[in-house]
Amino acid sequence: MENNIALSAKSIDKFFYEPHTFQVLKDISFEAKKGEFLSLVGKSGSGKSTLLYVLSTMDTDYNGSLSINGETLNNRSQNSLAAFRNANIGFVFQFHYLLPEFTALENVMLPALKLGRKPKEEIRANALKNLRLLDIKEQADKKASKLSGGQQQRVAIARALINEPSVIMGDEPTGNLDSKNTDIVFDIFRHLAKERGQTIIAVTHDDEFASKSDRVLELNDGAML
Amino acid sequence: MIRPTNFKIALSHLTSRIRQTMVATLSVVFGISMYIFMNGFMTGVNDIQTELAFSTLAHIRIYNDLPEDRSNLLIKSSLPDATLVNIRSAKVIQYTDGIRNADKLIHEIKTLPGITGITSQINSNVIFRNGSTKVNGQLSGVDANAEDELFNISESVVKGSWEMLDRRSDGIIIGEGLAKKLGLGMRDILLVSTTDGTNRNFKIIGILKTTVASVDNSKGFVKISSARQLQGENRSFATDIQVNIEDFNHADELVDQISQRTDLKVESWYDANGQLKAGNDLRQYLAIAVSLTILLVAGFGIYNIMNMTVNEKIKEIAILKAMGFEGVDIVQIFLVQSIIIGFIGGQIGVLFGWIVSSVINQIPFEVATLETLPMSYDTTDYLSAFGFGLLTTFVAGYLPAKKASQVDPVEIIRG
Repeated sequence: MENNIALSAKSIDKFFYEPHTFQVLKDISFEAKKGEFLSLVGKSGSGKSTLLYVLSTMDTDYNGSLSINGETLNNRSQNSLAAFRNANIGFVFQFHYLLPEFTALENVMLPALKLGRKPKEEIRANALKNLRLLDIKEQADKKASKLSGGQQQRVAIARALINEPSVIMGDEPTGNLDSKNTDIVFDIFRHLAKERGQTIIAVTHDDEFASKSDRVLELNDGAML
Repeated sequence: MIRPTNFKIALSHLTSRIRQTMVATLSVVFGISMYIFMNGFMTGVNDIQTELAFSTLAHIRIYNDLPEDRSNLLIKSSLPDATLVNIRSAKVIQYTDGIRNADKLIHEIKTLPGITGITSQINSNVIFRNGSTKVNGQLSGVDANAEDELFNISESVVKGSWEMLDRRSDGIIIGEGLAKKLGLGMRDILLVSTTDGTNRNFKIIGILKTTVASVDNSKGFVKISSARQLQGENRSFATDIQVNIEDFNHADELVDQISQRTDLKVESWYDANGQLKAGNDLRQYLAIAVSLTILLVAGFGIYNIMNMTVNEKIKEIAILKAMGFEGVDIVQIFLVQSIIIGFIGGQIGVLFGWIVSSVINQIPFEVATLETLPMSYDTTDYLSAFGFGLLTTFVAGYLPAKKASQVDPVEIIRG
């Protein structure tokens, strides 16, 4: 049972101190199973993105405890968290944030080159495999800046997958995509959760997207409903 | 260790913003080439200055340093404190002037290592007379060959020849200005009066033109034996022994060695001419101060451009950090950029500095013995310019890199 939990958050509280003290997250606790596709929804300002960044280990200014794959992540140094993210968490953002001067393929390879666990040739082969999975293999050698928005987002997803992370987090991953591309991205997430057992946590405003996921977590004024 | 991935990202930043990269590189080129030029020029000026000075000045001079105060016959410290001393109309005893046994001392000094030339002189104040015209001046009794070895004086002789001095005990070579003042020319007779009242006629066998006014306007050279005769001194007498050494910057060591062998005053060129050394040192400091300021300005240029790069690429930095790049990776990415700029700019700067120096070195400047502006091409200047350039770019690149590494990815990504 314990083995089946990918991510566990317990009693997460977080405050903003500027311009005045304000509790943005109130006693959030939940668990995500391996292979589960979760949607985080809520109104603007409900704290859903804030929660995602706490879960992502990038934001360390909170109270409570967080563990991913059984590893407790509180009170660890920024560098050790960075190394942890590199190996265990994949990110997909609303704005794709690829390195514009690098080709699609090079962008995808980047996190794996940083991890440095595999030889470059193998990383390249894996990156091409991921691009094929996302159906943009023919764009592999194009500069990222020359790709369309939908293509860039798929490259970003391919990049998020390269180190085979156990958790993939998306901050409105379909936020600026048209419905056709949104469907493609959703299907990919679905596939990853089901076939590869990767946990997906996505913040979304898109009700249709959320309703098709395994579980919807709704936040209101920083508390989970 | 710089990871190849970081290096690749750094290169992509440099090549994607080629204009900024070029401006940054140019500022390094400018800084380093100016450093080289300034130092080369100042060293060139100093070398010329030293060369000019050593045309009349030996590296080490040995002479009889008489006590300044000859009046005190009782050494006060040897008496009890309460002793009252009262001496009236004290008569000063005769001190020994000059160097009595110069040949022996010269023989001893010649055995020391690093000596390139040595000669003895008899220098005295005299009055040069031609009829009713009188000019105060100095008479130098010299050994013609040895004197020429030290000061290359034969090159300054414009009429007659320096070598003749050794052959003619009645010959004198005088400065051009002095000849003019006395209204005398070659083969004319000149009367020399010493301070003791001895007079002797000499025949002008040469006219000198150095660029040093004090020599040209008031100095005469005769054979050393003639000067001894004039002064009524014995065979081995001299007032000065002049010594040249291999490296004039190390005169101190030889001064110490010679001092151990004699009670006479042994003086290095920079003790005798403090202003010469002070001038040299000050010019060198000035060159360093100016060139370091230029490098500093170049450093600010790089700092500015790197800061702009960091600001422009801040989202990229955030995403790299989100993907798991650590602070040290980010520092590497930006530091590598400024080091590449420093390295390329440094090499071009060294080359450009050499070109600028060579061009300035061609500019005509006909003063004293100079024909063009002086310039020195010292390898250490070139190396230190390159070193300082790299150091500047390193520091100027490190600060923005450090700032980049501290970017909070959440803040940037969430906007």
